[in-house]
Amino acid sequence: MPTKSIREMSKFELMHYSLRARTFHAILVLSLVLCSFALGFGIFFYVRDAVTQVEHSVSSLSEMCADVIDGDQLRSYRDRVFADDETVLEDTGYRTLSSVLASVAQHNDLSSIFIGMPTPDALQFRFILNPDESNSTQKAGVTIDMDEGRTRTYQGIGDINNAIVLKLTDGTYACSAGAPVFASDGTIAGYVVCNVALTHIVEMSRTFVWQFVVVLAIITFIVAFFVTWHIKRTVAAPINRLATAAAQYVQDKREGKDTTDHFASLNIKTGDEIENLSLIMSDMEQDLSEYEKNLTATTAEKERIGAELDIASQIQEGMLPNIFPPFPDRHEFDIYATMHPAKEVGGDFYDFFLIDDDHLALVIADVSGKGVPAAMFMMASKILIYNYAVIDGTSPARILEKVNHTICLNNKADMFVTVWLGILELSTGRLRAANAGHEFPVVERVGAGYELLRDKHGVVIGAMDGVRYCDYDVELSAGDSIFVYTDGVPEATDRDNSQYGVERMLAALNRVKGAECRTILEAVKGDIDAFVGEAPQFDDVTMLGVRYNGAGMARKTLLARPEALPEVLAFVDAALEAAECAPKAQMQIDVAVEELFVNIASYAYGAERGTAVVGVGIDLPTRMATITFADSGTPYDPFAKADPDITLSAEERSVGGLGVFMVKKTMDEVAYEYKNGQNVTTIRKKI
Amino acid sequence: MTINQSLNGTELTIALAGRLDTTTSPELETALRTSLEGVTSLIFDMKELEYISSAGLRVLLSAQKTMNRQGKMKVVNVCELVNEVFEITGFTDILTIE
Repeated sequence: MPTKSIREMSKFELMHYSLRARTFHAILVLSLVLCSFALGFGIFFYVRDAVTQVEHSVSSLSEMCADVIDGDQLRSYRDRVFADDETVLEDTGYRTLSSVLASVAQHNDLSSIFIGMPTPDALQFRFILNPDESNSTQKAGVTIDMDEGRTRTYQGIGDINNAIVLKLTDGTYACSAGAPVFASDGTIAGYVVCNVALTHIVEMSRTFVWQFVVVLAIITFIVAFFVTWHIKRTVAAPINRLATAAAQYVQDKREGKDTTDHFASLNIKTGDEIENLSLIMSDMEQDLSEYEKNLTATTAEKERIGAELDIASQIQEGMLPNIFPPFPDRHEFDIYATMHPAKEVGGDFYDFFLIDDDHLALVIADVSGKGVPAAMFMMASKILIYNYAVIDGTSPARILEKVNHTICLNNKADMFVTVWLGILELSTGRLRAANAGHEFPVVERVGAGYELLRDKHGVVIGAMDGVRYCDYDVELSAGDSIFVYTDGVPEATDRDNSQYGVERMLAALNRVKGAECRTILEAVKGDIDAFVGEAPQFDDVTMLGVRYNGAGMARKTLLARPEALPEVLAFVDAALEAAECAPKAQMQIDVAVEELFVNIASYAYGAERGTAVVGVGIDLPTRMATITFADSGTPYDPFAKADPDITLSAEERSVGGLGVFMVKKTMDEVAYEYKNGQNVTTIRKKI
Repeated sequence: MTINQSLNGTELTIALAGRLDTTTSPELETALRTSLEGVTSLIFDMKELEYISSAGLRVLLSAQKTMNRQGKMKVVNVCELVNEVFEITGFTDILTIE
């Protein structure tokens, strides 16, 4: 596998992957191996046959010579030579024999021919006649040691005619054969020995090798070229065309050209696997083109659905009241609600609306499932609850029963919704509620903090027709609040899959108790987010908070410090002026408000910061203004202190207690109570 | 609140207008601390003072005590609403109101 892309390779590197080069190399290597074997065997057989032939002819020659030589005469020559009679060398017969043998040697390409006799133990050989007189080591009368091969030959007389190959002292090879010359009495007069040098055989095989190699090399190159050319024509060229077409295909796709015949137009007709490959590639191109078209269509469809989901999400968001404060002229309650959907469109919803001047409906619900089906079901549920509540908003249980019945008439998808529905009577603070399988609401009592209200649950809406729900009442005092939520809050999970839980939610609520509803909801959401961290949000997180301010009483929460006084007075004066309060009464009330608020601001929390809640209510029929101050500082009854003695002279007087004294004097009623951890001071004055 | 001071020899007239309450009375207190030296007669003109709370009373009481040592003080042109505060708190007996 190349580690680089083929695009990054140089020409030389591409050679490595060329079929032609590989084939060429393979043929060369194969030829080399085959030729080596052929040459080896050829030389072996050639040499063996040549040597056999030489052996045969040398044997024949020595026997022929032995036959024609007169044995008796040879014996006399032998005896004279062995007796060191040098006159024999000049004997005419001896000389004639010598020249005949020399002639035989010359005509038969013998390297040497001589007559001699081995010693009886066959270890030595003594020359009788040697035509080559220049060779003094082998001349007549000389005795030489014989090599082992020759000795064995003479010891086994029957094999005497067999020629043998000898390695000579000069390193060359020779073929030697000897034949006995018999005297008339049958004894051996001597041996004729013929030697042929094998040099010419070596020469010939050398020539043979040289010629063989040249011819084979030429043939190998021709074959290699031909095969390579053939492979190029039938394999490499079509493959290269396919590769070029593939590269062109990729480039055209990048440039956005819409041609679909890159492979079909190649028209490769090799009739083998390559043609097959080109056909498959052509089909593949067509299929890819089809697939691409489908994909484009599908993507467009998905985008359209995405856009529609966005719109659906916006419609759903628009269905939920999300302008706060929703009823700026109503001071009896403070309300805030949020929904954070997990998917584009969620199944959770909240709702609140005034059924009439005195009844505020509060709804929180969670539809089974998620996404578009849940959202559609949610829409239907929300509208039904609203409609039935507006028609007859006295009993949440009856409303839920009617909603359940209507939904059950046509609930083919078997969906259901959990609903908590409460109706708050603003003039009394009575909250009447019913719960259709929804999470427990949380109630905050002034000073006591938030607690889970384990109310009676009915069956979820949509489960079965004819279900009965029951109402329950919660009496809310001024300053109490109620917090409802969907299961997305307690079931929010962090990365370790542990759940946020109701306990954490209550703790988060209690950290901000008494605060405005918006602050409370934001604090809970912030706490959930901190808990969940990077983990994905699985469920919608929806919350609704309502604080009851008391009947017709406007409330304002401020930091308890003297700088807030103008704000307090503006808040009180606005209410008084709206009721057309007499200037004298208004000034007295202002003085009283100032004295009481400055007291709280200066002393209630010591050096700490704290808040005070100022409430103003005017009962128009009796023209009685009620103003309350609540703080959670040190318990202190401002009215318990004895009145200052106002008859003292200026020097004896201090101003302590004078403010509260004025309050007592000018107001119609003053009251103090410490309840639920709060100082609550109330003043009343007829306006 | 506005404070208008006019010094005529050793007679200082301070005309108060607006509201004399917790927020504004420190202003008057500061003004008095610097102005009262050598004054033998202090006159508060309350013609345009609409409102007074105990914080304002405290400043008036303190001024009265100072003037008891170095001269005299009187309050003039008190409107009905402010006068009522003086009456309730017994300040009518302490201050010289004309």
